[in-house]
Amino acid sequence: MNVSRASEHGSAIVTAAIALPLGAALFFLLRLVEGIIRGPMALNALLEETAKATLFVLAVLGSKSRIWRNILFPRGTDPDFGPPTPLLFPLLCITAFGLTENILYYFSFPTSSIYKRLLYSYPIHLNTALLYALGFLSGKPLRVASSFIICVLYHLALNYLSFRLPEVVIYLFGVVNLFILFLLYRRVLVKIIERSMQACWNPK
Amino acid sequence: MDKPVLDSVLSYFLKRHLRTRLINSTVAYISVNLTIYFLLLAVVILTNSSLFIFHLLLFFSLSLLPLFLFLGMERTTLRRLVRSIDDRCLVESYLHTPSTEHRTFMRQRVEAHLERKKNERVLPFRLFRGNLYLLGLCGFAFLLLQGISVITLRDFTTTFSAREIKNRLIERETLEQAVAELPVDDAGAYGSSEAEELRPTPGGETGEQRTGRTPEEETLEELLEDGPMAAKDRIDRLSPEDLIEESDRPTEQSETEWRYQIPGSESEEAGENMSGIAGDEGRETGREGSGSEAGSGDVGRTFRESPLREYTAIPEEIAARGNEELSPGGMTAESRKQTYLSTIFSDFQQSDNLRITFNPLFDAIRERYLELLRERF
Repeated sequence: MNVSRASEHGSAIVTAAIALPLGAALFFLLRLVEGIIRGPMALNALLEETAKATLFVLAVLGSKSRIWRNILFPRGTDPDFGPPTPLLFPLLCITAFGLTENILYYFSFPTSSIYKRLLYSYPIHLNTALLYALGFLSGKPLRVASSFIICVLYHLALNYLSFRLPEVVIYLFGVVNLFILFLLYRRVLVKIIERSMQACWNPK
Repeated sequence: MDKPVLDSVLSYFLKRHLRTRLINSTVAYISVNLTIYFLLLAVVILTNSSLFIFHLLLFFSLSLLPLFLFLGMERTTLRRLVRSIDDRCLVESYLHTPSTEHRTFMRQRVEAHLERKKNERVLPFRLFRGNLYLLGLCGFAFLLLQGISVITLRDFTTTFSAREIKNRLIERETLEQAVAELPVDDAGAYGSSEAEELRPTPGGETGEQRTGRTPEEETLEELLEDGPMAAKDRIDRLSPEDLIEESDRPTEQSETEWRYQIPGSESEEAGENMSGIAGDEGRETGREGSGSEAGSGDVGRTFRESPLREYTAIPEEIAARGNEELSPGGMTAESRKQTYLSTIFSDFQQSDNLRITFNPLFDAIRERYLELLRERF
């Protein structure tokens, strides 16, 4: 049991080692593109959400590739663990994306407003990532598309409100954001377990 | 038992499992961040590092919540959950078997087993062992912080604010700077003559007993060592100018006191306006009290600064003059030279001056002096 746990953690560490720098690189790439386009806020939100959704698509495609599956999911074929769910990679990429954004913001504006971003802006990225995860776990393209639209609207709405709401309300929104994060996380976990149950009901 | 029924039963266990897992993830996240926070505060106390770095690292650690939630998430399977409640592998066998006959055979047993487990309240909430270690680590970090705080700041850290700690460090630094600027010229002289210091005093005290005494007390001891007459001569050699200098002492005191203020405060500005360049006062006082002035000999600056020196010499003077009454009206030709006496006693008419001049330290010196005098005679 301990050996399998160690192998499981090893797999997660390999995934994190690849995903975290990639997420940071993605942030700089997007900033470059946004700097070139110089579009409105809505376009920037759309670009960011497209990039995040693309990460999930890449993860799903990567899980179908034997090479990537062996790198990211070395125990993927073990019946004890069920089918690999390619979620960790895009989720960690998006985590690194949000973290890089906030840290660069802190370098530019080293004030206590960084904690406001921790509650408000950072969970936006995490919540949209979990929404994509739910969409991809369902395996239905329509669900994925609706997740994408919801994420763009959610991102855009909170960006818009952040300029207009008083500070106290922003902090309250931050708490609500965290609550949504935990709800989505729980839902994703239930979905993952349900998927593994399907595997149990259809043994090979 | 068909799939939807089994789903609903398993979802009950699933909820309990997820609740435990979520709470444990949150506890781990909070413990790790509290530990990091305490350690960062300890580092700020020890190294006086910048708040920018402190908040950067704290923000980074606070941003690690997704790692606590997401890592291991994709490996969560129903099989593990089922195995934790299914010690005889009944449910697992039921799920795995492709044979309808076998399922029909096992159904009743599986149903009974799951119902019993449900009533037994399996999967109760518990803190994972790793979290217990993390909480212990957090407690250790807290104790470490308080220990460092007590050693470095002489007080417990109760506000847990890095800014507060920085303010206290700045205050302490200012205080140390002010103390360093205080006139301590005689310190070297005291330090160089250790043997002399360790010599027993006329009061029968050894050097160890004298350790921790004020310079005033030390000088009184020296006076007694010279003998009453020699002490009297030395006091007599003091000129009235010396006493006038002593009258400047309140100003000096106020100048010294403002250096203990927090930089930027009102009193500091007042001090600067008064003196011109901040920090020069101590050095000037040091020059003034170097102990090299005529008449003072090796008595020491601190002693010279004390107006009590003349006052405490009065009993010796009375003893030297026999029973001659000492009063401002009874000045003799000899006493004409001793204008300082009138200066001292004229102060006595002003109660305000008394309050300023006499403080508990001087009273203690006087009492000690009289005590030593009684021992001697």
